[in-house]
Amino acid sequence: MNNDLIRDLRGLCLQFGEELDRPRANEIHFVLHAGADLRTLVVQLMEFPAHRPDTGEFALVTAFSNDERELEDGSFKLYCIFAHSRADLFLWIEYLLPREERSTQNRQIYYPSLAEVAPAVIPFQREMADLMGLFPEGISRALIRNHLLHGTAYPPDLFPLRRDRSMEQLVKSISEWEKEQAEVADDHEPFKVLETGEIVQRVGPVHAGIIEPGRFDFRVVGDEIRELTIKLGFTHKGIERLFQSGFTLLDGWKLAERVSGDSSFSHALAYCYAVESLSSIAAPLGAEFLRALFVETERITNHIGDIAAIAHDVGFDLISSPLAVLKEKMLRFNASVGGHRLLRGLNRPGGMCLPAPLAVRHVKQTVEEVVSEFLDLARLLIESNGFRERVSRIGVLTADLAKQFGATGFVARSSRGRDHDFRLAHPYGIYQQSKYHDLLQSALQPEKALFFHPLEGDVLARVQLRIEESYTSSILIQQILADYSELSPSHLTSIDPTLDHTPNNIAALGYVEGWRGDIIYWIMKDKFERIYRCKVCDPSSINWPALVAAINPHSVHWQAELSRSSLADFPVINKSFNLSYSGNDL
Amino acid sequence: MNARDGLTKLVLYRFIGILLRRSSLTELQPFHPQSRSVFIRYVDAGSANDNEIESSALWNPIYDAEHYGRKLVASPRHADVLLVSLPLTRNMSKSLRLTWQAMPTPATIVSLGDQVDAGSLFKGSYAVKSLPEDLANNVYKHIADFDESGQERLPPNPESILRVLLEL
Repeated sequence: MNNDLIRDLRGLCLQFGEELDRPRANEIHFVLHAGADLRTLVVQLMEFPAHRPDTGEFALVTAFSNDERELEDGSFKLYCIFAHSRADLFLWIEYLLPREERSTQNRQIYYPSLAEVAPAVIPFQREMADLMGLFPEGISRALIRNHLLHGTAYPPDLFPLRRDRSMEQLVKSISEWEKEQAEVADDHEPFKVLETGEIVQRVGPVHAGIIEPGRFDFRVVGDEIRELTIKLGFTHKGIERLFQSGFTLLDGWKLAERVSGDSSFSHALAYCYAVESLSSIAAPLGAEFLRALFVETERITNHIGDIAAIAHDVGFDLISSPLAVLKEKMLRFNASVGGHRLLRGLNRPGGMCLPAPLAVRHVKQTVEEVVSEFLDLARLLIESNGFRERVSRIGVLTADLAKQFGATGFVARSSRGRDHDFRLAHPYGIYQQSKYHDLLQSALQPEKALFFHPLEGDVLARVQLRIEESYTSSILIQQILADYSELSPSHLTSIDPTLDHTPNNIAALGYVEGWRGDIIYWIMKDKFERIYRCKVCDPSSINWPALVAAINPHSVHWQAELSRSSLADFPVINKSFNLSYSGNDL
Repeated sequence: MNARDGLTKLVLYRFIGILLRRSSLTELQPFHPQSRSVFIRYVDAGSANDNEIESSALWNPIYDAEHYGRKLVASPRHADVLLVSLPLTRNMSKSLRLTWQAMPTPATIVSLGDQVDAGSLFKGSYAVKSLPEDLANNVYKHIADFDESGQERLPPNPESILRVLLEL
């Protein structure tokens, strides 16, 4: 199937652009020179392969721009990376924007918008507008700007990812702009009544509990949400620029850990995979086992914590409290095994850095205990009629919407089927062994499901799926531990990555199926082991528009009218997605 | 598992929670004569949700800050303490100031997380800054844990956060 697929794909892409030689076996690179071609190609890719839809499809996993004006191509470049849902295949489409005069520093540059053909690109287009100053044609400036750099805090044409200004110059121009600004009056309107009689209720960015900052504008009639708009960007810390200015390829994992705290380990791991791919090394088998182990414990920790939060939100504290205790147990377990409650400081390019040898029996016992207690409690939760009533058929993300927005992770799995998983489609680390691949695949079979309710993309489906995933993780962990304890010591020594032989301006991908979905790092090497560009893609950036789509009125097949959510449903729906604000804002 | 077993189990969990709490915080007296209630408003000023994981653990049955009278409130108008999770981003600085201004006096600030000082990874970024002077002057304490080499360990342990909150 793979060869046919690659042949067809190459045939399609060759109509529009030229192929670059591909450094890695699972990648195909094409470069395009005309904007119209980019659009047409993406339209056709979305339906590719049209004659055999059962063989999987391409989904946009990330899109970003790179300032390559000082390199041989001499212009900005737009990258769209597509991943195939069944075959281990990544398609990189590079669109070289027309060359600009170097003197026109702050002139805006336009490219053809892909928003209508692939809505998954919307968050990335916003990012490119604010950070790089590349604008999609046909979308108004007001709509696309100020999502990451808010107009009240930054000068209008900053474009911090353009390389012609250093970080110091950026800071200087912001502080000069700040001095000119008069104190702006408070524009905070918590409440607005529209002419139609609808009310716009504004919540955030500071919330009533302990959550990250984001602003939600609900247009409501009574309790019914007519439209939700979400404003993010409040936690924008300039991480992608910091990678370039303050870190080398070998120590950038420190910053990767700080992108999103709940996925610290997976983010650092995806970063390390990208650097290892750049230096053409593979971590030793022992390290790969440990990596897979900690990704799974991170998954269990977060799933337990979120189910606890959902139970709390629906007023089921009898379940929520013991689940919170279990989460705390997992965090303490992380600290005892990895030396940090959020598993920080363990990943290095080329290996793992554990504070003490792994106590296999302790890990086995704790995971077994915690997961079996979790399953008992979770069964009580799911089998309670009140809970099921509260969470079923709200916040429905239909399979069509999930496909349209390119949703990833458990959000996609609860709408479109359990096999939308990077560990299966694009195996990395130990999942390249057929043993683990088969183990995971058999655990994901629908007949092995713990609960009998079908997965229909509602809150109940996501809750169920996350409980099941924790169980799958515990099965994987038992197998990993059994194999790890039989390894010979030679498999445990780390490899020192050297980047001396890697040419400059070569880029590589690193990806991990974290608990929230696929985390993707795209890193381009600069001279002297520096980072030319590091694009971080947390699954949250793709899933935020999917959350909005699940809440706004939309049609679902079992209901004659539109499916609508009420204000009181929102916290539960939001928790069931539990997206990272920080991972999105970077 | 039938419903009765489930309930027995729940009672047991409650008991385990209490035991864990006793073992980790034995010297902290919950009903100390000087203990009083402190109302806390939490603002995430731009952290990477790591401080939030540890802070929200304070209200689980193990740390159970509420039984020491430390209560999380839903409005700045009700709060005595502003618990700020750092680093502070430019996009959040206005909202943070508005929250502080909305609090009745006397009030104080407790901060945790990355202070964007010399050792910080975010030092030098165009998008973050340290606390503005008028807020920094009102900071009672910055909650920090340190590792063996003397470096700040982020995020702080819930126990460290609770200890500082109990000083108030």
